[in-house]
Amino acid sequence: MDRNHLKRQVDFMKRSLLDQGYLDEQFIQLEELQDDDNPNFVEEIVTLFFNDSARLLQNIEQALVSGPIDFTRLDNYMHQFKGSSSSIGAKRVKNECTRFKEYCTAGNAEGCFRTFVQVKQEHAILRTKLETYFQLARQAGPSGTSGGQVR
Amino acid sequence: MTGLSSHTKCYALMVLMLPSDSARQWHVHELELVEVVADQVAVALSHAAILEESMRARDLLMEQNVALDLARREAETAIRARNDFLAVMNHEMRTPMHAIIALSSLLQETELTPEQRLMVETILKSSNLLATLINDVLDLSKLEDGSLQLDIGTFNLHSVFKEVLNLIKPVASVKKLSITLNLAQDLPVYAVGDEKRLMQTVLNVVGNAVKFSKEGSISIIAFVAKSESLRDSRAPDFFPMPSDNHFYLRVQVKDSGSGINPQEIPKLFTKFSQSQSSATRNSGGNGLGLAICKRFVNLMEGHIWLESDGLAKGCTATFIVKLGIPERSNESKLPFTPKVPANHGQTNFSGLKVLVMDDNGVSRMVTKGLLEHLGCDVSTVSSSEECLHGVSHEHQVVFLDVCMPGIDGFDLAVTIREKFAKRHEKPLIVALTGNTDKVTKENCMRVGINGVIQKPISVDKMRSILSELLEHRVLYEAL
Repeated sequence: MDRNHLKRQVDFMKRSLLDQGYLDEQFIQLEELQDDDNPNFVEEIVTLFFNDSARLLQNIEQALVSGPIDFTRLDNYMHQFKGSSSSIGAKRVKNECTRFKEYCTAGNAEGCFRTFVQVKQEHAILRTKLETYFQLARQAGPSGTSGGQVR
Repeated sequence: MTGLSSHTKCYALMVLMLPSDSARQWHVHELELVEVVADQVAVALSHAAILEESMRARDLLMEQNVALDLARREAETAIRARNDFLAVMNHEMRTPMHAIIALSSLLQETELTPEQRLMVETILKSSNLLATLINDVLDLSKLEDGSLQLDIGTFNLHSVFKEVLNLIKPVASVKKLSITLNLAQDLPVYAVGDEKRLMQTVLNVVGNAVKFSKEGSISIIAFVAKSESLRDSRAPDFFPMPSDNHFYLRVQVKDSGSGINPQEIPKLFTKFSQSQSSATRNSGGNGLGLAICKRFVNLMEGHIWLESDGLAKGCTATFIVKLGIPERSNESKLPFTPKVPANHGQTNFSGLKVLVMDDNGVSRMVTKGLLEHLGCDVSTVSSSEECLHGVSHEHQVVFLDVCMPGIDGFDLAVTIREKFAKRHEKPLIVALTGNTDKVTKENCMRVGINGVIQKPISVDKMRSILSELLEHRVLYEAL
């Protein structure tokens, strides 16, 4: 009973993340790849993303504050970051990245600064939400397959 | 007087002259003795004659043997010389051929007007065909000892005819000849067989029609041969047996040109034969064209023949070949399977070896997960060097992200292509892109990339993409 209730909560949370635009279809696709051979696929990828992106965000921050801005370099970093974000379905983060890239192309330093703040914010929010999500998911046990064990 | 004869032949005449006043009286038994002696002499003479005859015959035989031996040695020398010549020519021909192909390819990469691009494409296609022809033609030993093997694959049958038409149209229009192509309604679009050699055969036959017509029209018709039309009186030893997964393609090329003397027809399919008339239907004057076609058609379990009502009365070339019907392709298999959410482990691709190249860790992992989920054996690399180092002929598909800053995905694709240019097994290259523009798609096509997919990709999409790709070896979805 308890597990079903947890499962419903997990589903509910996922649905609301989708509805609010934090995540998109790509996240669902990732979940489809989860199977008995790869039971924690999504969490693994998301963890990789946050580790990777922490580094990228630091690089971008450095590039923005130290000396004259190299827009090409910034664009390259952001391209990586955007790519990663869309790979896990981080919709809002991805959108902010797009905006950032537009300012980069336009050579608008101020725009870049402003957008970067947004990027960091969306990134942090998503991280918190997904941490909660995965905690819930772990408690609820594996989804989709019947007779799963509670961890 | 006695005739000295043995059997019926008279060798000599022995005349015994007895003077009438001779003192000697010849008794009868003495005369009989003389006759016996005469007979013996006759026998001796005949033996001598026989001996002389046989010695003469032996001398003649010896002379003939010497002459034959000389002739044989000359022939061997000639064959050796021919093979050497061919080996040299083979190389000599290939070199400029490669130059043409390589430079035309490079030319394609430059800024060209649409007309120029079309011309360059035609040059490339013709050179590729010619290169195949050179490989086949000059490898006479393969043709002679019958070890030539067909390259079987699924291909677009209709395109073969359209290609030939495109290639021959410029020449035909210069001669003001009209060409019509008629493909029957029931002619399958896809067939299984040796595409290149079928095209060569059609091209050769149509080319001959064009070459030997000074004016008028040429008609090409292609249809599926039904049982009645398969048994032809002109091909009495041809017993075609249509079945469920094969069909017989019949192609007829009719021209209104110089025609052929019906007596010459059998000779036309013989290698290197030169007919007396100045107009010979063997292409290029080396006498091989139709002989090669016949070889190809025979390998395709078919038959080829020419008919003509005579000189200046046109000619009809017909050939029938056996082609396979491809398996019902993925169109019926995948997008219409009911969408069962947990399709875990339902895959057609177990063991398919693929390589994923992406410098972004996260997206690399996602693509890998996707492909592994479908049962593929996935290797990943994150740089061009790793990619070139790690890609092998065992990989059937290489997935390249072409939007990586700092890494030229197109260049990488070209390099991979070159690496496997000489191999029969080469990986299919698929570009993954986040771009939605036509330019990317065109760039991909230009460097020989087999397919372009737009990210993000769903599991179902990847599944149907892999099916389509492996079936048809090409995939360009509408971007």
